[in-house]
Amino acid sequence: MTPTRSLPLTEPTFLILLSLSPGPKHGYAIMKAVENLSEGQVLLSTGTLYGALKRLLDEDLIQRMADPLPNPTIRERKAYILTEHGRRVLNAEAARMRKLVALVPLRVGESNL
Amino acid sequence: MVQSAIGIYRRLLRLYPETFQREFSGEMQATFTRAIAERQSRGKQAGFLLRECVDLPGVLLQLYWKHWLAWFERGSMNPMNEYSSPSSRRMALMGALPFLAYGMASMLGKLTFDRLHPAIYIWMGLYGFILIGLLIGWVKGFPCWVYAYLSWALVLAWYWSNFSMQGLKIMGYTFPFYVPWGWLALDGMILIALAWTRSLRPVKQFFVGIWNDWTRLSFILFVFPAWLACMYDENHSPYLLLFMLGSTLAFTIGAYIFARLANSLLRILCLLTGTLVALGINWICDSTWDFATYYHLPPSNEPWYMAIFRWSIALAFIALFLLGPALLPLIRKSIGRLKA
Repeated sequence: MTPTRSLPLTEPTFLILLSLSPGPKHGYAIMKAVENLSEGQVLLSTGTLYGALKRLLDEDLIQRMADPLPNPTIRERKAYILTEHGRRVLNAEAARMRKLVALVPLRVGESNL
Repeated sequence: MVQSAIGIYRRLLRLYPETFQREFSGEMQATFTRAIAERQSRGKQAGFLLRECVDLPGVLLQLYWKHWLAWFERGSMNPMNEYSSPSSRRMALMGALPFLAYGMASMLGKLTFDRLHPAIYIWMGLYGFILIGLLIGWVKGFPCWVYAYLSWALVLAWYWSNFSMQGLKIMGYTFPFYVPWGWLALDGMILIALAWTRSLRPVKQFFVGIWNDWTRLSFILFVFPAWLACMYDENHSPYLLLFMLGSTLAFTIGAYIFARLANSLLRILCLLTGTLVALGINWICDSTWDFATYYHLPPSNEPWYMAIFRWSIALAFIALFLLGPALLPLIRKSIGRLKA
């Protein structure tokens, strides 16, 4: 499947994928990373987060794995990692947004705003 | 407060679709517990809880939409349900025939309105056809198409429970007045069926069929709107037969397509569409023929929107009526859980 078929991504989806870009994370870490990346503008509820994770799993953009980080609880914790397809989609979305942003100075220059 | 919030959250997780719960509820609970503890340390737990509450309906709506869509595509609420496989063309036609026969009998009944005996022969012919169909289906172990015959037999037996034979004489025998011949004939047919099969197994198969495929119960109930909407009682529209034919075909085609489908939801939508079309035809008939003038009654002052309201209520009631049996899989699932 071509990455562009999944575009455009919603802001929370983009931020979730971006938060997973450096490496695998569990649910709470994703929630915090999204909050930090968006400078507190996007705050995910657990329902929204796991609803999005379910969709991303179904679309093969992420996959589940055992959490590599030490776990203080007895509960087995799952982490999520970007798939190759997910990384391509993230890059394609970033490129799409860069193109859009590149248009802004031109338009601003023309209208002299 | 945090402990109470965690307890409430754990209960709220039960609102999610079952497959989603199985996959994520443990993780969600762990994430929520960590998040609320962290927010509490910053004194921001109220905002976090508020967001959880505000987001919940939208998330549930999205998840259930997907859940139902998956069910819609899969074909049945119960993927192990071998009973809801589509019927062959012949079997589907068998299931649709009583609807066509009833419509035809109603039309012939209108044509012979002034003469009683021909009308009785028509209804007896129809009832005989239904009972023979029911008998064959009973012996064959209650396949899907027979449910329509049973329902028609019950409706007609009940409808004519006080129907007088008016001293009708057939082959030298004079029928007594006010004998519930409809019920007697049905009882006779059941006795023949029991004597033929020498077993109660078909009766069990009837209930097992409904238990495993709830749309069969909807199919049984579908006979009631068909019976009402094809009757056109006290109606003398000049185009009456045309309207009756339209309603009859709507129900007949609805019953045929119902049996040819495997998807439970589509099956019910098919029955509802048939009913909607037939009711629409009824409404056109009512709107184009002046009942009050014909019967020398004062003209009706009912505003047009009240008529629409009345018809909408009727349709909503029928939709609930046909969808009611969908509760069966839920009951079955609960029983399964209790057994587990």
